[in-house]
Amino acid sequence: MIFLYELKKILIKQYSLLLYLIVIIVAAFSLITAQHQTYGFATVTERNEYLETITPFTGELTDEKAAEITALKEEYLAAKAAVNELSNKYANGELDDAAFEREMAQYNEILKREEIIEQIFSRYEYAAADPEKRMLIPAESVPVLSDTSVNFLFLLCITFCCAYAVMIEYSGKSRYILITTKGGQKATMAAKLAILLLLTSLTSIIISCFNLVRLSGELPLEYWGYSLCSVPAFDNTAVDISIIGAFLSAQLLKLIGYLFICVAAMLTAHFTKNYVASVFPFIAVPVVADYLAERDSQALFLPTGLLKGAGYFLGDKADKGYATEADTVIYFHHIPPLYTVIITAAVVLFIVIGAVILIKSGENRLNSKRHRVKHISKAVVLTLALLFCTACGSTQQAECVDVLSNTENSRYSFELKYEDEKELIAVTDKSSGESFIIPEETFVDESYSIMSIYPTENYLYYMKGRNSGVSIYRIKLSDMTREEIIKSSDTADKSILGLTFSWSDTENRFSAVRLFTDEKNI
Amino acid sequence: MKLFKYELKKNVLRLSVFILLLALIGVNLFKQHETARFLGDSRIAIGVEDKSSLGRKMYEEYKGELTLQKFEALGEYRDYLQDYISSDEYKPTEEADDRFFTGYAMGDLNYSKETADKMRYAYLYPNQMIELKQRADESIEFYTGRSDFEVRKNELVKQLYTGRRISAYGNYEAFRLYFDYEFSSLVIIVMIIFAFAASLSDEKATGTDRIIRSCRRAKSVFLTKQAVMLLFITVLIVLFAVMDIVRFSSFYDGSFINQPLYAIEEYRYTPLNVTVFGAVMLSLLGKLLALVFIGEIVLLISSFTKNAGLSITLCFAAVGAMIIISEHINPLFSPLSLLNAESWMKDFNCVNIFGYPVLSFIVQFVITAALIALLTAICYFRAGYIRKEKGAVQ
Repeated sequence: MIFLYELKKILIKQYSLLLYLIVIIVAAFSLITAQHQTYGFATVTERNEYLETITPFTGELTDEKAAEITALKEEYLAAKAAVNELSNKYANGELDDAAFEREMAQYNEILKREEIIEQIFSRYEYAAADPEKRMLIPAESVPVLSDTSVNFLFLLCITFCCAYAVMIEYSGKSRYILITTKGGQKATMAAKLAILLLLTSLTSIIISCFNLVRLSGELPLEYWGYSLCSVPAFDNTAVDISIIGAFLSAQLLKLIGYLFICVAAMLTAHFTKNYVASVFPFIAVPVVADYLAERDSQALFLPTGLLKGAGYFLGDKADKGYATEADTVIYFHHIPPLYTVIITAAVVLFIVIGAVILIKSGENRLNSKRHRVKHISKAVVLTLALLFCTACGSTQQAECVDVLSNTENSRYSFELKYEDEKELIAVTDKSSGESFIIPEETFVDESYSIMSIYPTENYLYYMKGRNSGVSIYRIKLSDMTREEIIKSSDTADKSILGLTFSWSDTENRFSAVRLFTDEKNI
Repeated sequence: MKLFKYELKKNVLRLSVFILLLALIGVNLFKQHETARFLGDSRIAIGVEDKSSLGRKMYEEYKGELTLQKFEALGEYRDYLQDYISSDEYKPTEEADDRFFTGYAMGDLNYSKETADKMRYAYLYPNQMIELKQRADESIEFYTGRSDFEVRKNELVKQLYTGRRISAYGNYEAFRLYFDYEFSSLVIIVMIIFAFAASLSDEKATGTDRIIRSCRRAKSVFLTKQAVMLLFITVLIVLFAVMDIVRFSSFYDGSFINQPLYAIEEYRYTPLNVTVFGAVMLSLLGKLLALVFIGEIVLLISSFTKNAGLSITLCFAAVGAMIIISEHINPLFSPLSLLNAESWMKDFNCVNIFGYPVLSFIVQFVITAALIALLTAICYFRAGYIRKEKGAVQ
């Protein structure tokens, strides 16, 4: 009866159901907004062709597979060399147009697959570096697996709901009535605790299920049994575990972390009877720690490190020395597996002891020594606040746009000519015959060159850049005013109050060689 | 004044605030060390005594005023190194040799190239500006009759980038790191939430607000609270700025604070014709505006609920939401983007206001100030509204 009453009170009257539902809805929404696995290819056709080509090579790396991949690479290199030679001959006038095109035709097929072959060879090189442990998988990164970010919305929700469930009894003075009744001493708090732990566990499991759906999208099911170190983000991992094993363990660690916050917030609220003390440290410290320890691992040694799950499976990360091996700086030290077990056991023990203390709190309230306990609890809260630090950083996806490719010039009222060496665009108005040259941007990045130009009825779009970073400009043809509409840096972009990892996923970073637009999509 | 003292004591001069501040200062020291060590050029770091600080001696030799003699001396030294390395006398070794700045001939050769590049940047900076001026002239000629805004924009470019020169070769890592360092701002936001999120909520919960209203002091108490918050934020900004600069300068040479901002290579196109010190001051102004804006939001949230826990949760959620939103909207309308000085100081950006170009950061400052004024007005009138609605003693 008390359980049902508390259930109704916490879920409905204290809006916990609504708040937890918001967390679940946001997590579900992130399924839609999360970037899809691209394997480093912009189009679905290329992706399918890549998967078709690499699938026979996946799994354990055998001599036969290695020989086949090497042969494929050599065939491609030979074709590239032959094309270079043909181009030289053509440039020197040794070949006419027809002969050049005829000769080139035999290499077109393999050259078209350049990126696919390079990607397969890159996957092969990674697996071949440690063939006994690593298996060949098609994906270079599996963001959901290496995601070490904390779900702050869930953290806010847990902290508030748990502290509020306890504090409401004191602020409404109903606690003092409850402790005079037999059931109120233990059963009320036990019911509250059970409901909040169940609610938190259920939400965490639902979020994990969403993540599992994401995992299935990022890495086909047949690779889930492969060893974790097959994924480059876990190249030096000290844990001998499968990919699915690591995923489930990370989700379990997160669940334990959330339960820890749940019990700790309730316990603090019970002892301090102060909202600030029971809410602030459990939100502020993980927020600060998340930023603080984005590159280092010390904080993973602390209880709230569990909220980052996958951080415990990462291996050492190092900046290679510029001169000798001795200059190499290890900036992320892996967490020993034994420590992960110890911290998890300690946190579970804390949850159990905390739960027992909370349930027995009704009796403690009648204890004459409670004033001493109050001071000790304050010290505990402050110590927790100082100790709560977590490590790793959240990976952040770069902005990505749909990239189509085409060039078309004839159906527009302007004739374009790109003067390669001067980086200038010459424009001729077909109707009036007027010609003019659009000058360079005033603040020009000399390492960028024009890669593609595309005119529309009202605008002239052009793209400047190099392999890994591009800028797209738009010139309004009525007055020739120019604006930079898209910028994709070749270094990790930074957001306000949050940095990306230097070793984060770079597969989806926007790069392109041609541009095409319908003025809505580029 | 009594009210001010009382509010100061109630919100700021508390043991818990000082304990939290000390803890966060400790955390900040760790973060500063990590930032300086991993994000700075450790080859010229003072505080790093391992093999990675090889470039320090060479930097000490050539730093300071740019002279032709220094260029020639560096060129001669590079010639000597090239001859030495190609001679039979040279044998690669792991042992450091005192004859060389880095301890190794090859190390000196490589690092001297970087040094020469940096000195060349400073020496040839006026030439870059002449090229920029030429491009601006071309644009003016092209856009005359086509777009008045573009003409005016390029005239502004000419005006801002004329007469620039760098007189010294120095290391600006300390300031480059400072302008990009955001952790202090995060710490200040946490402090603001801690000190003020429960401020009005607690008054409501304890009924103090009714007593204040009955004395017809609701608005003056609110304004005093805001003054205390402004003082608190200003003190924290200055405190953390001094800590950051001193700490980064302990790793890297901070003696070139009087050089122009564009002496930092990454800031070559900054529209600000100020010294590094001036830029530091401007960055403090930007931070102040952004943090006061956050402070106003914290007070506004606090005035809506008597549940301090909810108030703190909502404040963190609001800041989180603002961070997410700021990544998806025009920085002009995102006060939080003022927290990172690099993002608004580094490049020339302007806004078209009735055909006239206005530097983006000025517009950003004005919009943020307007938002602060709007929030303050809402809070102010809200204080009066509560008084009337609740039927306080008149």
